[in-house]
Amino acid sequence: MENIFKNYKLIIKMSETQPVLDLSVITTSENPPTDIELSSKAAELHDALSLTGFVLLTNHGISKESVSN
Amino acid sequence: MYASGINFFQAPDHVKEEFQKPKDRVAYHGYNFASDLSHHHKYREYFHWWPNNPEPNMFIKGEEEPTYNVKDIEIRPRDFLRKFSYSNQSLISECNLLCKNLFTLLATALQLPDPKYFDAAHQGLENRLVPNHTYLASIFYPPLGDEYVMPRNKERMGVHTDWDTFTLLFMDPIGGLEVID
Repeated sequence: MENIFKNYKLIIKMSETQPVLDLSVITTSENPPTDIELSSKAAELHDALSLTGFVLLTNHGISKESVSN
Repeated sequence: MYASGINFFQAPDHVKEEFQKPKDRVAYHGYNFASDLSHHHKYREYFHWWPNNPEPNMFIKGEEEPTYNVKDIEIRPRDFLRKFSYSNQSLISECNLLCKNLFTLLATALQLPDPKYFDAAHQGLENRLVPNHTYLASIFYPPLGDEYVMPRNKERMGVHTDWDTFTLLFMDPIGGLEVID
């Protein structure tokens, strides 16, 4: 299943903007994100979707088991 | 989703037939056979999943076998289908959490007065009693065969746009997915 993510990266690399959104501040932190962290991530998402139209999500909280099983 | 999905799609037609999506409904879960090869762009089998229960977490916590409302009758998946159901239902729960995080980010990004605007607009996400078109699609593209000649200027699943709030895409290790900005 590692290959899934490798393939995604290969494709995304073809794009000059390489939009990647790391959601770890929302999904892995014990505390809820601060307003500043939320605004920062929201701005990244806004840029990715309005300038490119898609975004590669990382640390999205979806387990590899659910996808591969 | 992948391992149990391959298992399901390899099942004989008369088994898969039991889980067919009703043809007269759009937003209903169930299985669809591949069309004939003349519609090569639609030559794919898929299973649309809805959340199993209005309280989706009940399913993951409990070990009981889920029930389904296909064609308004209850049918129970055979043992070899249980894993397919379990993995897709747990994936739905995880995707729903991700969706809610994205709803918050979208509302923040658009500076909407109500940060819960998208949550309110997607109440059917976890509740199939609210009519909506949200589903998880497990899609299988069967081989076309060596003798099949693809018509000129045609492609398998061509360029298209999904008309929904957003689509979460997962790709198997074989690849083939292309995203263009």
